[in-house]
Amino acid sequence: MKTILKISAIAITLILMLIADIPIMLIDKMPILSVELTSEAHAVLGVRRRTRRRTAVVVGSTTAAATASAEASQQQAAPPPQQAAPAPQQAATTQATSGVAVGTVVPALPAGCKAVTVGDTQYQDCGGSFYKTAFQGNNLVYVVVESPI
Amino acid sequence: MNVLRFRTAASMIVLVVLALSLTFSTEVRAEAQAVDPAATEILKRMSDYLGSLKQFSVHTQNTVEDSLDSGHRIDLDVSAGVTLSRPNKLRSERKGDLVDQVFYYDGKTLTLYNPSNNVYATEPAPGTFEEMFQYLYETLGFGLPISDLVYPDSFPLLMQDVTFATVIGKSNINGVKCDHLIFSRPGVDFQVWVTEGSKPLPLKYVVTDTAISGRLSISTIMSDWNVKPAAKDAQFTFVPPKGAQQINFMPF
Repeated sequence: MKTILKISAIAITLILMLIADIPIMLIDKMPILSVELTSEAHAVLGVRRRTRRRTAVVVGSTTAAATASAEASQQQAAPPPQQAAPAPQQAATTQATSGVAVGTVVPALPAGCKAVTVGDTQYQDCGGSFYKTAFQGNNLVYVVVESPI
Repeated sequence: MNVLRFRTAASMIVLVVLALSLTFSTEVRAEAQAVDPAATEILKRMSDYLGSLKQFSVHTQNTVEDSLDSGHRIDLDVSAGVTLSRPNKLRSERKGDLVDQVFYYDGKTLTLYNPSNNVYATEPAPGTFEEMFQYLYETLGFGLPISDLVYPDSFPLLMQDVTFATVIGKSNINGVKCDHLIFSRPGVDFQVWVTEGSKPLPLKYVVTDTAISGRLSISTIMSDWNVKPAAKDAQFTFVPPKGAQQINFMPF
């Protein structure tokens, strides 16, 4: 009887060890489905997962004129994940005068912007919301900042 | 009777578990033996030849596979020229593309310049290709075409953790006869097409992410190889044109 117990204990342990592997595989795969990540693989530097939003910016920049306003309003409604990053200009949840959240990133400016230079920095005044040009990766984007005036 | 049944059940379980672990270990062993020296020899020759070139320039046509939220797979294309001068100077240009863009690296600083918007961003850069590529990729959030292949000694870097390698056969890229190779390591497969003969240059390079079900790839087709471009140092240093506006890289 003791032998049987021992054998079954070992067997169960082995099975548990196998089962324990399975959840790890599932966890590996899950974020890809739920967070919708896409990959960029390099043989030497490895694989990096980009968020779909970042990809949307890449795609958006190619069809910037057509999708700019749609994209902008979309991002107003649902702030992009970049905003969650604790970067100094994004940490503040202050709203610019026109209501576009500071830290919002768009691939193209809305219509009717005026260039304003304050000090050495150039801004785009788009109906009271101020945008600063920046590179996100190698894509040119516009970031909503606090009013410099 | 009960005891007997227990014993049979227990031994069955043990057998199943043993069988499973045996399958796993044979798989591992099969992979370990699957690195074909003929493939690694060609890769080594290519890496040595590229490493021996003091300067080169090449045109690259890059295709990044992506998938839409709808699940449809699409290709995003970037056409770029690359000029390199060892040990640590590089210039990459996207011209006549959707975006006009020039990347400069002179061993001290790197600059990304968009001529059509006349804006640029400059950052102090590490002194070697290895560190600079890593910085670009991990801190600034973008990569450069064929960065995998331009390291002074790319062979050990490419061969790291490789569990499978073989020569697929002969192939023809843009009219040039090549050896088609594949290498695999956990999460990443890469294929490279290397010209036959005394100048083993890569003509095509495909990297596939094998860790996701969609298996997306980045592929590069290389043409117009020039192994003596006589590039001057000034080509790698950015001088802001009149009226150019300096902007920042967003934290990645």
